[in-house]
Amino acid sequence: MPNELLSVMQKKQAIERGLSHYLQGTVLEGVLSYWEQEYGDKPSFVLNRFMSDICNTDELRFLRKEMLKQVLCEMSAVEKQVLLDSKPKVQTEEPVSADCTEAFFDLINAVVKTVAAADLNDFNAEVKKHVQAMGIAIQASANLNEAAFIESLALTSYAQVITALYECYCEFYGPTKADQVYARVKMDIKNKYPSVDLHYLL
Amino acid sequence: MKIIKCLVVLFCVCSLPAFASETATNTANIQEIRLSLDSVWVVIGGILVFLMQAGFAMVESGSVRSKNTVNVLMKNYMDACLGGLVFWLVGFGLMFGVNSSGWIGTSHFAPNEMDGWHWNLLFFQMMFAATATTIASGAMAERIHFVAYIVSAAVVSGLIYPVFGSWAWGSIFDGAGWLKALGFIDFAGSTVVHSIGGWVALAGIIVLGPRLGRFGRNGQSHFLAGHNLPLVALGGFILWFAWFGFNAASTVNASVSIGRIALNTHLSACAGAVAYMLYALIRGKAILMKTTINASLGGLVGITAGCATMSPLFAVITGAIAGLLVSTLPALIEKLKLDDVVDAVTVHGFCGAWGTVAAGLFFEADMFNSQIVSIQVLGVLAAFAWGFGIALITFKVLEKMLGGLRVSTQHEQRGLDYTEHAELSYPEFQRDVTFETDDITKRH
Repeated sequence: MPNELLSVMQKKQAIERGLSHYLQGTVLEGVLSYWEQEYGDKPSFVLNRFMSDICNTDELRFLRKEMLKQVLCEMSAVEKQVLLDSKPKVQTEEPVSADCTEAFFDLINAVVKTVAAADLNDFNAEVKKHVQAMGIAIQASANLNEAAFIESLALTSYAQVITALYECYCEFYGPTKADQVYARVKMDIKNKYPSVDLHYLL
Repeated sequence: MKIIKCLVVLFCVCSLPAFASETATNTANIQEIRLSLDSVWVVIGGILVFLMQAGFAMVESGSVRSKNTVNVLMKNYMDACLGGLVFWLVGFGLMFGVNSSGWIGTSHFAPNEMDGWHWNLLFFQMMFAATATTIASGAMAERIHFVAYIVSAAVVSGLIYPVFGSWAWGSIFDGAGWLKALGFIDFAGSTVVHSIGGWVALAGIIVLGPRLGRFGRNGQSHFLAGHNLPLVALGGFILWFAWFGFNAASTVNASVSIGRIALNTHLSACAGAVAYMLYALIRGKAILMKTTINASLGGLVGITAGCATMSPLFAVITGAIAGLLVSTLPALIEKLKLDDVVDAVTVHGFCGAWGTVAAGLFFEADMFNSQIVSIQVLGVLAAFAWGFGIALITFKVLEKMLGGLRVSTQHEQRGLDYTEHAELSYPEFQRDVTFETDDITKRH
């Protein structure tokens, strides 16, 4: 675990939260001081050794694995938070490119236009099901090529939606046709929107 | 006159030691020449077997979409490279080391000192290991992580193939494998090389699942054409050419028998392709090039076990039946929703099994002997249990580590050339399809 991210204080707080279910009061304080003294400057993989040191009763030895798991969980949560906080906020600070959204809409529309009329309802339902299964919130009542559907999506989810669309298209019409349609549509989008970074989409 | 006779006798007696030493020298020279000839033959055979890597690379890369071509080629290239090292390190010892138990070799790991003849054998057998390893790569194309595949290839070269080989072929130093001791016949490896490869492929495609959209939402099958059929054909020719080395050089000596072995090899391949062609004509179907190539490859795989021990007539029969297997089994595998990109399971797994049984059935010294056939069947089943079983475990383990066995949907859509290797096979080619392709499979 690359815990160089975390300061000694952050690690100590994570350990405190992890052990608070099992140790309280002065015992917990004593354990935390011991950790800071002996292991504060060491990497996280020595946590196991630390646990062995402090679990000096039968009860604690029995709970050692659970305690270690809890501490590691807390450490992981703190790391994630630190990473999120330190990530350059390009996506939230930069305004969503109108051109990119238009390109995305055109791409979806172009693909949906190649879907047979008889399959359209099923296709819409299937794609939305796939997108929702990915954890992306959508306007469920809107069809894929409607503005309401597009507006409900974040820029960061465009590529995932396009992949879900591809996956469903493959199931309906086979990968060969899907590749052909996507290749053609990609060239059209590229020509129509030369300034759009297609990495957001494909 | 008497004096002349005495002189002649005296001359003969005096020159006897000289004659004797000359004879001994001549014998030694002949033996040395013999050893040299055998060595040259074995090494040339090994070089030909290495060429099979190129054959497989062409067949497989031509059978996939262009966006995955580099990935397929890299898998073929690297499994030969890593497989070679692993076989030298571990595989050779397991397969050909001293085998006192009959189950596994226990010597000659990472060999650094051996006599000249054994170096020839190591080189030759290393190429066989590479062949067994690369068979599975085609079946699993277009959706397997490159690194995960290479790790599985190392397991094939270092464990699956050599252990079964130790059973079927035994030690070259001391000891015999338990299957060999029972009288199992697999001259050049229908089961040892090809079936093992086929069963590893089967395990792989079961764990991986089919390619995106290969089977539709209503259970229908979507045909996925390869991007370059001339490449498939070239690969087929190369494999056929190299197979002469694969089979004939398995004599490991330059004897007069290599002619019939090569003939049987050729006849079987021809019969496989013709059998498929007749099958397609009778059924009113199109004679597909890829299936024709596969049918001849099936014939080659099938004859590999018995090419040295059956007559040409039965080589033709063996090949023809292998061709019919290739004509029919892929449809059954497809019905089971298994996606084998190059029909490796049929061509190598099932044709290898058939060829091994055929080697028992058509064993010219004792044809249709049920005892011999039963040993052959036992060997085939043992290969399946070992090859499929260990491969299944390997792939299940790899599914949980190294980032998983299968690439993500997005990567599969983009193509593995770009996502795994950051390269494109044909960066300058445009995609201009100007005709309707939807009904092209109606006569398949």
